[in-house]
Amino acid sequence: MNLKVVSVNVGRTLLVDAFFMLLCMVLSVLNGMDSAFGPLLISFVITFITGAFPFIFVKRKASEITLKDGYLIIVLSWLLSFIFGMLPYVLWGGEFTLANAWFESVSGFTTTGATILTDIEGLPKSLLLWRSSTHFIGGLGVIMLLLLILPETSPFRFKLSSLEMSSLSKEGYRWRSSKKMYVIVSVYLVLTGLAALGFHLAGMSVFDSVNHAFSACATGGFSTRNESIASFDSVPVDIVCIIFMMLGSTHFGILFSCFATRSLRPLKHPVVKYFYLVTLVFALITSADLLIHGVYDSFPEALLHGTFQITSYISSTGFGSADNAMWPSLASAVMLVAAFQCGCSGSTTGGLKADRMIIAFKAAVNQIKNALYPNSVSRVKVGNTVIEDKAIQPVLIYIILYCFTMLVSLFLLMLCGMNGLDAFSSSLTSVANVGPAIGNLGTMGNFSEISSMAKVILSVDMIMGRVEIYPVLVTLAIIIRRK
Amino acid sequence: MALFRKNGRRRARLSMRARFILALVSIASILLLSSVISVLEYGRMSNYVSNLVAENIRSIELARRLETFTDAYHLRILDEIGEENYEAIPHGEADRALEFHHDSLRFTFENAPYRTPSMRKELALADSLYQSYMNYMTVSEELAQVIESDFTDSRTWYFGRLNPCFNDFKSRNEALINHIYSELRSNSGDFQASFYRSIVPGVVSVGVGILLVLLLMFFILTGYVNPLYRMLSNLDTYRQSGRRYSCTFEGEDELSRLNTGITDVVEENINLKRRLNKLKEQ
Repeated sequence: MNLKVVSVNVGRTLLVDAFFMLLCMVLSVLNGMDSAFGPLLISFVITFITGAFPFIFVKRKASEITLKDGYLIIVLSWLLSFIFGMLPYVLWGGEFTLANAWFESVSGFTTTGATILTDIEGLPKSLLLWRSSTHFIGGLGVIMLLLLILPETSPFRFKLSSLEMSSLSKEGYRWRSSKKMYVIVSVYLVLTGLAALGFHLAGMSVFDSVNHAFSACATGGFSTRNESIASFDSVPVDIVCIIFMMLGSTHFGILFSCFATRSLRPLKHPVVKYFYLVTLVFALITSADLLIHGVYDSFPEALLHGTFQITSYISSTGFGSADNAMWPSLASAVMLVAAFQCGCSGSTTGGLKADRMIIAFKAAVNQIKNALYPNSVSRVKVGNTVIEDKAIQPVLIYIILYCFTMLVSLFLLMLCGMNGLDAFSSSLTSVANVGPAIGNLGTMGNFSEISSMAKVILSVDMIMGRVEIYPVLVTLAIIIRRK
Repeated sequence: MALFRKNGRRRARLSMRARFILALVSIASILLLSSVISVLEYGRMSNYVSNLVAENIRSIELARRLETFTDAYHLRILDEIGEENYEAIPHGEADRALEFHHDSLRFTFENAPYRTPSMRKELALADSLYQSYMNYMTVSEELAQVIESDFTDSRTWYFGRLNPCFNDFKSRNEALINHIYSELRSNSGDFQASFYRSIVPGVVSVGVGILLVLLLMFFILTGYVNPLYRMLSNLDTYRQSGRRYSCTFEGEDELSRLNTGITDVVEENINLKRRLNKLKEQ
């Protein structure tokens, strides 16, 4: 393991965090030095010094990164971002105890969007911007930020690409070269800019639109209002939000293809078609259920809120256009199923991802075919791509690990005194990085009342979900094997 | 004092001296910051919780005073009804106690750095107590008419109309007092917790300081101490066996230049020895 390389790359991540702290400080100064200026200044100094420290001794041209170094860089970058990211909260005080600040920081960087705050509007604007900034940084993914600055020739780059994108998604767009990470980043930045513009045109203030753009494109879910998107009570805002939540959970490479070819043909990719179709079906079921149970009087209203909530859960955003605590059980169940799957790989979404689901479904069908006709030669095919057996196995193992993580956290949460429904829904939505669960912990609820231990368990879930389990396990294996 | 070295063509690089100064200043500033944070945080948290506890105690005292005044006022009304003789009863003391009580609760709420659900409940209870008191006083103002009126039985009015208002006021006051008591208990508990909480930022920055010290130690060991040992070992090998000095390492800092210098000196020495041997042979 090359500690110099690891420290320099982790330092770069911390410098990105420090840069955003600086931006929030500027906002604080513009707001007449609000109460978060001091905490942000101290956090900035500490984060900047720590991030810049390795550069004093390490030469700019770092040596090549090995696979082990790469995994360690990912895990340490996330971990230190969480720790340094919680400094502004802890120093500001208020509702932020140590456990609360940790939870909020992890929830921000992992783009989960679950909060412990009971009075979000009581926070100074600069601290609200810091919350949203953690989404922005996390949305891009510390992995991607590192990929941009890691040497082009590093073999680790390709390993990471395969982690972030399934072979299916890679097939869908033409930019398969080393430029693809730059493509993803540029699409993300353009989407965020467009979302901010869209929200502003829909009636939000500049501050609110920037914050909500950070959240929507990162599929995070932090809002500047206590009642999330519902507090704007505006159909245009809801529609803009739905559009950008969907775009934020579609493969960025495919979006870039649409832009580059000036056509919607790339959207005919089987994963994207499957994802949009599932969203549509879920939205219709939820809307019909809401209408049948009389939650809303008119179909357009039920359709709007049903579609919003389904999009919010399936994109792993977690915004709320209505209080879903009292929604009928079928609608709640559909939302949980949506949260289990989430959007496409190569986007900022969390969850299992549509690519894996479609491969798992096809593999199951293929298995049944093989059982019926043992002598036939059948292969798993999605669109025009034949999925090799060696590609199916990791997908199935990942699904098992994902469910196992959920199950373990479910038991631990119940040990912490949470009831079965809350424990199940919150563990599912935390591993999937959705944020709000259902019932008491729904879109208008918060996690302030759960115990500190439960907050720690849920934050571990969020981390496991965001880094897709493997890097954490590999890092643990590296540490254990070194011993 | 040269902090930067010109690196031949384009950019100036940090000299060894500058690196150590920068690293140590960074660590010192982090440690200084951590101590300042700890002191400020503890002072802030301790003041905040002390003020809350003091405010709770003051609120309870005011609520008790309000209760005493209204009890006396209510009994005076009963006296006047018994004697069927109206005489205006001053209730300014009770009004003032209520005003103080209500204002102080509202002031605490509005100036709190953040508002907890418990504070919101307290304010709601205070507001409802205020309304209840106003209602009671409005009804009590009817006393003169009741005593003078031939149609209204004053005892019926007292027990049927005034007393329920009074009981409502009393129960609301009791609810508020109970709530403030529970707040007081919770704030006293927070006083202890605030101590731990206030040291957390300090602990984090001390942790960062320790991390930087460890990193510095690693960089010094790998970048300066280990190369020095390698140079020494190569020099010893040269002196003992006359083999070439072959220590090389990356970098363009002072240590690297020193190594190049030693290599050159050793090479020159070897050449000189050779020439000396040749001369001796001739």
